[in-house]
Amino acid sequence: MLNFYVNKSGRPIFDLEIAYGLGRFIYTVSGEEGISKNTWILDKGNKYLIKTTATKNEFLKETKSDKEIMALISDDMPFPRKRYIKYIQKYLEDLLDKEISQLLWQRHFNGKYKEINEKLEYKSLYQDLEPSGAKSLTMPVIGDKKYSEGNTKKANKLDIVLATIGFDGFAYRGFIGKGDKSKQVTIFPNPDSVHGIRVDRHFIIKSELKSRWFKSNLGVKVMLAKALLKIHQLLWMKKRTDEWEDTYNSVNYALFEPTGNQPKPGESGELSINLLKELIKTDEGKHIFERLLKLINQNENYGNGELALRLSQFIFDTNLENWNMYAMEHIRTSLEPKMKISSYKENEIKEVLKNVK
Amino acid sequence: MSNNLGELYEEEAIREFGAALRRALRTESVKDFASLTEIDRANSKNDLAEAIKTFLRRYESAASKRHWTRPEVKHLEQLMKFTDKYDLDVVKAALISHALTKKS
Repeated sequence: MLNFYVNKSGRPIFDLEIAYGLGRFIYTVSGEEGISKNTWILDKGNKYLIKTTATKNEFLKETKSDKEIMALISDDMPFPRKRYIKYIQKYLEDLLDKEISQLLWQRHFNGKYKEINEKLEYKSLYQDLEPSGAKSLTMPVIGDKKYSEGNTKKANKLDIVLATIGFDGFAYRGFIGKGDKSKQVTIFPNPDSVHGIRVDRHFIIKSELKSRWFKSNLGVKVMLAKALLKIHQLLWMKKRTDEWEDTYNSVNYALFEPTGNQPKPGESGELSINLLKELIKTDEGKHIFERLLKLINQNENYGNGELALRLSQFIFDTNLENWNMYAMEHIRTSLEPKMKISSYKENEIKEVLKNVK
Repeated sequence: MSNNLGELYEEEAIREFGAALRRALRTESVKDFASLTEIDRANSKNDLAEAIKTFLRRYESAASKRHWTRPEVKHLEQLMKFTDKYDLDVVKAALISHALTKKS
């Protein structure tokens, strides 16, 4: 088993994308046709650990052709601004000339970060990959006599390429609202520190979800709650049918506001999914995920939107105050004559309450 | 003080009072949402005792017409003991949570 590391640099989404990108790269280049090497991604606090069953030889000899590696950055990847993709594909071509596997081995296996970074060219960090890369967020302009857009943040080509490979393979997309004014959201589930996520299994979840796009008119948390509930419904099934241990610990997200020209970064952050992580372990989990999804869907468009909002807030922050706010809204709504809303079974509510802090 | 909501939810006294609360809420001609609000807004042990007292008075008038079971004195005593053992907010949440379930 080989262990690779990605140090966290304080750019949360970018770091996660690099880790996923490295995991996907190792998984892709190390396996012979039809036999891929199992590769896991784990969040170890100050760094990501990527462990693989591939050997040093299998990784360095790259069983895949340059063309197959180039396919890791697809033309139709769901980037908010597609025009950047061709630049990043060019970076990957350059890195293939410099033997990218050797660079990755030295930098992420042997930890020779400084030495390798000095050899690499630095380019603008696109806000699509990391919201804090947006120019207007990099320096204060209030009080300045002259207007300034600020400076562009930089990252080296290798990180930009890995992050793009990670983004293409692992990000889910969401939309808030409808039409031209809809806000775009990038969703990144974060692996846990014990089991992590096996690269191929993430792809299975993505392909088995009926849609890679999640929508809501009510806001980011409702959309994220729907997305994470669907992902965990599938994980619950896989845990029982195929004995998967894969676990997500939190979800990173970044919202982009539409403007007349290019989308601008809006809110972003990391939300805990401790409740969902715990419910996966229970037999009732399947029914609870269904119930929570039903309650959100029932109330999102035609019922009481406030209930969907409060329930979503509770899912990501399972404290007593949020539970009380949600429970009172649920009861109030259920008393409305025309509202038929789903009620919990005894066993379901017991499992939920065990996790209220 | 304990904060284990899941554990308290399963206590007999909470179950009895929770079931009574649910019945009073879900019965069309009773719909006692006022009692639920009073329990939710109780800020002290005394407030909660007062809210429970009011609830029982309202419940009694509905129960006598419908042959509903009533919580017993031992359940009331146990409920009040919980306010010493658990945070008041946890006791209130445990009671209110019973109103979200199907079972009567």
